[in-house]
Amino acid sequence: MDTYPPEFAIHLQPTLVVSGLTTTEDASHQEDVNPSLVNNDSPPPPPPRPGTQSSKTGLAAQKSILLQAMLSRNNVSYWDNTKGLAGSLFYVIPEQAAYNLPPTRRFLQQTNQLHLAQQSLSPTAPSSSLYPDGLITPLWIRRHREQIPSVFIAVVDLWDRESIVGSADNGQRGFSDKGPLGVVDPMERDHDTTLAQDLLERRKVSQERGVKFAAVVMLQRSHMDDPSIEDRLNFVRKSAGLDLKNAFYVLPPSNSQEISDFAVNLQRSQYEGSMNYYKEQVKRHKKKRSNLPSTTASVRPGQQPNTGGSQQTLSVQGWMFRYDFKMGMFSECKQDIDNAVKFYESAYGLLIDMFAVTSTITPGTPGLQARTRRWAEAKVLADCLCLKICKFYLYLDAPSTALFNFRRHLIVFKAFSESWKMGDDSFEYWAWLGKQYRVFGDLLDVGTKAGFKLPIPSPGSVVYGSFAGMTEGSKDLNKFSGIGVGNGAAGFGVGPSGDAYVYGGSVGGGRGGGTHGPGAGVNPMLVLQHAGYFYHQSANCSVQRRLRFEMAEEAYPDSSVAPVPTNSRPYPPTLQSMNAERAIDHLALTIELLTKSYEQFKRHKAGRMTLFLASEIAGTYYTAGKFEMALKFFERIGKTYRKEGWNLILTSILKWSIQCAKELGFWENVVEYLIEMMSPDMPATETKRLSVFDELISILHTKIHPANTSAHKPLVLSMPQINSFVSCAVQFHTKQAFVASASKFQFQLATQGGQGALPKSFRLSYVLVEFSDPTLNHRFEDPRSLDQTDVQDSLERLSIKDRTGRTVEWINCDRCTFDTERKTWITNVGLDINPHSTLVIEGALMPEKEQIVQVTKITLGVVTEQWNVALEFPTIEVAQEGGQAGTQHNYMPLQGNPPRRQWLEVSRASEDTSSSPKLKFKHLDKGTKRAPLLRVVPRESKVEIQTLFKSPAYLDEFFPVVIKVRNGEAFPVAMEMDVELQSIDPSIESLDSIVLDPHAALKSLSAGSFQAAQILHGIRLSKASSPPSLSSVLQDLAVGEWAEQTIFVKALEIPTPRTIVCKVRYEVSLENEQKKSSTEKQHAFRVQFIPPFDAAVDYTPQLARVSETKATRESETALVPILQANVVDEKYGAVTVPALTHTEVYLMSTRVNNEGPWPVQVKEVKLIIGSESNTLSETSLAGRDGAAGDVGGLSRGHSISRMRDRKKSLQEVGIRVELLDDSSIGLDGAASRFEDSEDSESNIRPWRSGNLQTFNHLVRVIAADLDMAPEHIEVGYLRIQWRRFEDDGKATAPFVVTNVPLQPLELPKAQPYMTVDLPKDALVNRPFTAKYNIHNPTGKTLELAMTVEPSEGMVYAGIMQATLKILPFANHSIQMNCYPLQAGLTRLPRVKLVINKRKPSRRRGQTSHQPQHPESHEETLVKVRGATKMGGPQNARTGTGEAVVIFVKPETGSLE
Amino acid sequence: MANINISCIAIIGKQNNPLFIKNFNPSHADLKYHYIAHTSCDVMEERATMKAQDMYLGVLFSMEDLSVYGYMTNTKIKFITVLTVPDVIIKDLDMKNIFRRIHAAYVNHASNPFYEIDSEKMIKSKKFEQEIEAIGRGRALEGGNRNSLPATAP
Repeated sequence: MDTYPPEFAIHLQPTLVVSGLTTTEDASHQEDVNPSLVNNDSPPPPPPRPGTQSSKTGLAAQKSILLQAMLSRNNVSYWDNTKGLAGSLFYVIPEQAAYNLPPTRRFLQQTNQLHLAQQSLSPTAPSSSLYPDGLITPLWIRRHREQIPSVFIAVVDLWDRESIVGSADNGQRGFSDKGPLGVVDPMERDHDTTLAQDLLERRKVSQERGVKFAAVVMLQRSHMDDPSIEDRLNFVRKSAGLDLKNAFYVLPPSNSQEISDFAVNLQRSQYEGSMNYYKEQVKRHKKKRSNLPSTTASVRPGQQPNTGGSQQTLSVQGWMFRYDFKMGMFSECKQDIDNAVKFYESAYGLLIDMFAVTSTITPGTPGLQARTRRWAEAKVLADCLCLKICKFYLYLDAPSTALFNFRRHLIVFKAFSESWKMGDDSFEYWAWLGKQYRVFGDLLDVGTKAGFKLPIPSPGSVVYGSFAGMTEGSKDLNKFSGIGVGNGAAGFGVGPSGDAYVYGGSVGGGRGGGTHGPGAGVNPMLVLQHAGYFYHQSANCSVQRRLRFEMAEEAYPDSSVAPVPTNSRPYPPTLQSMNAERAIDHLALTIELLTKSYEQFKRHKAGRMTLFLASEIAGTYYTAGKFEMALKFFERIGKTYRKEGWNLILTSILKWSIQCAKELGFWENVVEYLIEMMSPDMPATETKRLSVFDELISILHTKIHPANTSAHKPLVLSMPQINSFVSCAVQFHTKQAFVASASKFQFQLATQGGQGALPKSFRLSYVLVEFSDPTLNHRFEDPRSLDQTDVQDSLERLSIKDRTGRTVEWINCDRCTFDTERKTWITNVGLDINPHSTLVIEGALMPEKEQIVQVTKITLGVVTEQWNVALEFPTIEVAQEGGQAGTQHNYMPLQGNPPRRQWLEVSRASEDTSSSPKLKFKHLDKGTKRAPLLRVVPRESKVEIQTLFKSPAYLDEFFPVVIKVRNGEAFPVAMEMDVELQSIDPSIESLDSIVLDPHAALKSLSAGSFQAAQILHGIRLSKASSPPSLSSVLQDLAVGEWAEQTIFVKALEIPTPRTIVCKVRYEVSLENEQKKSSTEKQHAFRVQFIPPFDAAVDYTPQLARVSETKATRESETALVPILQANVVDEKYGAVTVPALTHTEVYLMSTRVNNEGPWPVQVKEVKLIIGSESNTLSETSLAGRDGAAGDVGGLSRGHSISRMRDRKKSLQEVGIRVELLDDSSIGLDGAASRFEDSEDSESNIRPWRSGNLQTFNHLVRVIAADLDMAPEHIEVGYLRIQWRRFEDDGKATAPFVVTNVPLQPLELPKAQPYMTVDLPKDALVNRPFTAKYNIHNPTGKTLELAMTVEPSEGMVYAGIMQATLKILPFANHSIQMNCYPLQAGLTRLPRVKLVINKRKPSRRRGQTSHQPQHPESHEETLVKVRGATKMGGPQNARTGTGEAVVIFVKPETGSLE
Repeated sequence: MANINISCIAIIGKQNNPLFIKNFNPSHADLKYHYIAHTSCDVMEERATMKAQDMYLGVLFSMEDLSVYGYMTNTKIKFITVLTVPDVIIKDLDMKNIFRRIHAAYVNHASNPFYEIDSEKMIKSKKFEQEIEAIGRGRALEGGNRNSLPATAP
């Protein structure tokens, strides 16, 4: 854009001249600057900074601030779409104080001062550069922009006395003091009059020109105090004839903010006047244009001067153009874009017509002669006009119309160029075209930076111009149809007044969003794109230009001899243009344009487009010979194309890169690119492929090749990064292998692509397969030289052709030798990669430790004298990055997406040796895709473990388990065994234990040093016959021999299965090594544990004894126990209150059942009374029962103590249980004890499974206070000393003790009860007396309601209802006289006693264990207890039953 | 349809990898269309985010005398048609029809159980090439419109 005259290109604004703000020097300086500005590419420079004026007086400083404020928005250059008042209003020209507008020409004519007039720019003036037929000159625009303003503002200052202070006139000061009457100082008036005259003069000149004039008076500080200042200002204004409004301003001293506000307001107020000025100008020129003769009429007069000579004057059409252009220019200044574009388009149309051979508008007039000065001027003008029109359409948000105008311009001028003999085969045309694109790109760039939004041509949001628009468009173009543009009228889809798009509107049936009318469409050529595309286009033109120029230079190499004009194409250029073109660096220009485009695309986030541009830049660099630059570009962009699989592009880039690298002598790069070029993914012809291959081979193997002047550094290529011509894979035959055993693996090397992908055999020097364990690395080497083709190695080779014609070769390489130096396994093998073949090398590796073997890397190497090229195929690292790499491309077969597990199987015919073995690929693991991986596990143990035991086991016993271990290995080994009893619940400390020697354990148990152990470590196994020992030297177990070990498991309490794990450990020495590998075998089994005994107890109250003792006591102590003295119980050391003491005797009948399936020998059964065991057991029992008893006691002690924690001990609640009689009859030999006799022990008869034994014990329960007694009393438990009975009589286990808990005893509650005292029998009709005793064993006074219910067989006389009160621990007796009426068992009248609970007694104030329910009206019946007198066995136990009966004998039965 | 002059039809996979590129215009090298197809990926992705409902993305960009139209399936397979533009209005409907035919051809091809959809390899199928050829040369498909997708309801 900057190559055009800036006047034509910049955005024009109304001009405002402000005078008086710059000094003379500044103004003259400004004058100097302005002309240079014309050719300068930058917008008008700001005036001199005020900083230089800092030394000036206050007024000067104010002025400079004002000037600065006025100029601050003077920076508009090419683009200003702010429209009017919102933007920068004026283009401000500062002038010196004495400036006045140049007088009009008419005024000069009138005053005969025409010689003073400015140089005329009209073509009519001979002095003008346009004389005689020029169209318009930029000077004209500059004059209007910089010399003829629309507004003239004169800044003046009022004369001030202060200014003469210091001069000789000091004395006048007193005289001129203003009096109170406001006498005017004549000196001031003098100055003011001069000022007013001056302003008047300027106003008049301005008026003549129609220019708005305004004056600004700047006051000084001293003026502010002057009372006469108002008068003075008024005087000046009136004298100068200035309007108060919008023509006369006063600026008092202010700060910079106020001044800049003033500046803005000043401009605003002048804006309207400025608009009027330009409106007048447009009107004036319109009038002038209408005064022109008609174009058709001008034909004849036009011819007349033509005959007169070469001086041809400007045609009418030219004048029309001038006026149109001027009107456009004034409209633009007026910011009337709509009209400006109209005038400019009209002017453009006229101008274009003038380029034609003969004009159509003024028929017959010849067009501009090519390559003349006027022609060149007009061409520039046309370009600028087009640019301006485009810009204005962009202002109007009609991007397609703008683009339409731009493209039309190109098409029109292409047609003209042909006729000017500078068609598209000339560099001049391409230079011009490139310039056009570039300028348009610049325009878009400037526009988008200033806020212009590019349209988004996506369907749905926009409905495109329809056919209606298209026809309008063609009409529009018809204006130019006569200019021979050819078929340019084919139609653009643009209406003349609108844009091709209708935003948000609807055309036809189409609606935004989904459906479109049938006519909806868009001309893609009219879709405005961002500047990047235009820069790119321009760059393309630049390339074309260079090519044309090079052709031209070839044809006309001499820069001093002009080319001879010919009439054949290509037309020769002129010497001048040739020489001008020679000075141009085309390549630099192309790169500059491409870079510009690149930046645009980058800004629009089109990453891939930038790659394309980068490739073009790189190509240009290559052409320019900057190979290093080019190579850098190619390398950078190649990555993306490779990654995304654009192989055609990649091939092209590689070809370029190879060329660059060769030029630079980067042979390593050449080799790398050639190797990638060998990949079948790179599209190429077969000959090309062959040449690539040959080139690679010749570089690698030819010593005299220019590449091989010296040895190259080792070149390592990571193949997954590039396209490979071979694929590599390693497969293990099995997924799992044992330590020290050989496992087979196959290394597969396959050519990629089909037939012809690899033209010839490619020989590798070595293949290195690296595993995660570096000691397993394998290296296959081919030591042959290139020309040696026969295979020398003696390895087994097989080869077939499969169905696709692929050669599959199999080499058996399982016998490698270990190279101690390189720490790898090495073998020599022929490593030719043949075309369309798969090479499979089978090897074997023997891992020596437990691990997971993975393939880390496969390296294919080519080693020659000068080269060491390694093609690396890493596998592990890449596989770990799988997630990201997995989505990548097919040229990375080892990454993320591993190949199917494939194994080349060799099937040999078993007997027939003549037929060759068959090779076939088989899928392993059903063809799962998995990275090669070999899990090496320790060798399988060949030890056999058996366990022998008799399940289920009993709790508490030492349960023998026999573990038998057989050495199944091939050589004797010494074995150790660990046995572990796994706890049932890891959170609870287990009491279970596992021992080797139960007798010893029992002893330590009795000594109190026993530690319950769940694990037995390091049991050394020896032959079954030899005794087991922990300490003996480790003995080898012979092959096939059994070792045996018995362990004893003692489980307590919980009858669940236990898991026992035994581990057998031993070391096996490897065959070839001194190292030993430890092997372990585990065996786990479960043993069910059940309790050995089950006991059930019946408690029978022994009332007989109770009554006995009662009777004796009662007889002794009368009926008032409460009066008895307290007795101190000697035995228990407790104080008993006789009144509260309650004693009962029970017969305990215990049935013990052997629950389990095994017979047991029971040595002793003993009832341990709970209270005894708690307090006295330790000493007394130990003393009595000996060691055996203690074992159970202690072990049981844990659990009992636990129980004690939960419940209050019996003693605490005052209960004493005494064993009165132990009738443990039924045991063998009665209750006799055989502790000291071995024989007798074995003689004990075993209890078979299901055997039941009954034991009777008589116990007395003495409750100190029944109220406090719990409901259930744990009487005690049975201590059974027993052992498992072996049928062979050989009992190895010692006797153990099991404590069998017994059901608790239920104590009667302390509640009132009745006893009945009846005669033995009664006789009919003979009255008898029944005596009811009511006992109150509680500590409360009871209130009882008694009712007697009559009985059928008995007559009762007495109180039927009564209320009784019984004191605590008192008895009350009731006597009933009854008269039986019938014989037999007869019910007595029922005595019903009900405790009156409505009066709750809280006398004792204790929380009773009898819950009281005060609200409850439920009656509590007092029961009859122990009605034993009644006859009949069926009632024997129903003493507490409902009815009390008596046997009544018939009367006859009486003795009387 | 008459004014539509197809220069190239390209199919690009969802990883922006080329699946098929066919050049119908000998005046430009294949490489040019590869570049164009590649560069249009960005534009298509940008367009598709702006407007997701329609698979037809309209004109993507114009470069020199070539205009690039895009169409992206729901599975992010991109179809690109490059036109040599004779400065006329290209109707969206026509372009949509072309893309529908390409889409149908692609769907037909992808329906082949032996075609690995995610293989990222170039499509090599005689049948498919014929169908694209027919579209590119502006011929009707033999056998009527059996390959065209059912027209979307207006």
